[in-house]
Amino acid sequence: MDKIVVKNLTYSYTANSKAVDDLSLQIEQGSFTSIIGHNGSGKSTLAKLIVGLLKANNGQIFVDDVLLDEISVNEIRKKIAIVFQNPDNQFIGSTVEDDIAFGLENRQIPSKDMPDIIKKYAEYVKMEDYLKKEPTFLSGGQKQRVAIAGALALKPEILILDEATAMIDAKGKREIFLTIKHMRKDNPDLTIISITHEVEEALLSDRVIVMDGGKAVYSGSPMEVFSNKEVREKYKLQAPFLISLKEELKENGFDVDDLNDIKEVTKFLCQ
Amino acid sequence: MPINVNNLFHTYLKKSPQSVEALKGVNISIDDHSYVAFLGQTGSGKSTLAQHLNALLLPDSGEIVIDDFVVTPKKRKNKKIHELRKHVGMVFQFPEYQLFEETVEKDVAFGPLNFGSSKEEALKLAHEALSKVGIGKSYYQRSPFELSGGERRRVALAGIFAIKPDILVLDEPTVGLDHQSSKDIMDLVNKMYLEGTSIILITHDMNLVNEYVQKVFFLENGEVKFVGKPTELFACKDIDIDVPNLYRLVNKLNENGYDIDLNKIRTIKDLIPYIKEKKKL
Repeated sequence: MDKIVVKNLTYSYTANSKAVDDLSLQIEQGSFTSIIGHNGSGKSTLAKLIVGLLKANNGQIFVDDVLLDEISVNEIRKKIAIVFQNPDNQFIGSTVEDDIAFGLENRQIPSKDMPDIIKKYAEYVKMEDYLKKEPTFLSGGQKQRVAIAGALALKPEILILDEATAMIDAKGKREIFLTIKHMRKDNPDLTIISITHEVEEALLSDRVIVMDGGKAVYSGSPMEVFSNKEVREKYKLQAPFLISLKEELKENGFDVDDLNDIKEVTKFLCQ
Repeated sequence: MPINVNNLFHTYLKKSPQSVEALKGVNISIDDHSYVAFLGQTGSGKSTLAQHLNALLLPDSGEIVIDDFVVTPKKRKNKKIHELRKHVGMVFQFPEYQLFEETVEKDVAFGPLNFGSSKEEALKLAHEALSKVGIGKSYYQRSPFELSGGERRRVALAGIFAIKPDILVLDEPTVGLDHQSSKDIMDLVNKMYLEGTSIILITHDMNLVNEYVQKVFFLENGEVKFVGKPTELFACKDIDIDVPNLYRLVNKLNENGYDIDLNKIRTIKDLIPYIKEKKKL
């Protein structure tokens, strides 16, 4: 079932250029989709259009078959949580606890239920020891984890990560991805859209959509997209390590087509 | 300009229950004209350390000696801070958020003007710096706020380049940029290095470390835990970093019967002879 359907969407910030240009795509319920493309390809604009932060010049967005418009926007927003790139621009509370509570208050969750919810999601992102801390005492990565906890606490049906891990260190990134894995297992219907530059992260998703000039120019499984040299070249995408390694081995006469992850390749090389 | 950091201590919010000991007796020395990195998890103290290098933060105890500048705990003793800042340029995360002038040209000229250049001289330096980052004449009179993210970051870097610092500290310069823009920025930084500037890179990206850096300082809980070459760090088992995939693979292969010297490996291609030998191909 399609969770999100985008039809012929167009949006311009200025009169002479289109950030999103006649874009159409579908996102399946319960899927984990990465949207990649260089800076200025329209990825973040698309995210803002889906949550109704921007209003499209043309075209339509449907969430659960409901057309996004001025009337439906509030109901649709309740289904979506979004985490942006820069943690300083989204930390609103005076403490970690307050920050997670802020979203819950907006959704009118009874205040007696809040401490448990806050604790649960702070634990999810390993920030439970920092509940009383003010943002000044947190690193960028820690603030970002709080933002993710705040988003998860709203139990969204759609989670949009707009380069949300870009500022987190490698360990933090792995924790976030473990959290995502965990959440998908807990809630197989959760639809995740990750807007990212990080090809290694995109490799973990079910589907990759490549954007360029405001259009979705290519899509497929991560393997299909990243193994396609033409696509990589044309849209200046980096190859994930696994793909580069397999290509190099293949060029040197090794039969590695059937190896699907780094563990399998390592095993093959050590036999 | 060589840098010596001697027994540096820094605690945020002393005498408060919230106090954090960010640096606990850091000693490092960086040779003239080097390309080094400060590494460590978030909260390890690497940014705090960097901010002492141009006296944005003053130590609680210890000192930083850069050429004939000395940064000490006592404010009144640090008379030459303004001059020091001309020598040590600092590029923070998301430098594009620090642009503030009406035009690109004015923004880049601000630094040299502030450090005493005449208006004419400042504009000349600004134009040079802008051409270095690939921002052409047609942009000079535009507002920095009309530019794309990548362009804004290049303008912000030009602002630092225009000061012609001897030491350039960059805190996560490629965060949020796509592959190509990251490469453009790092090429620029490398150009500065080749022209004689020392580079101190603060980053989580071990691929950048592998590609550019000669010597790394790994910090943990406010202390320096490792000093050495990047490849030595990647082979080090008791340090919690994200080893680049290539070296992770090499370590795995070495655990399983290979004998590969990490120092000889720069790219996947370098592995092939070892693999061919092992697989008798």
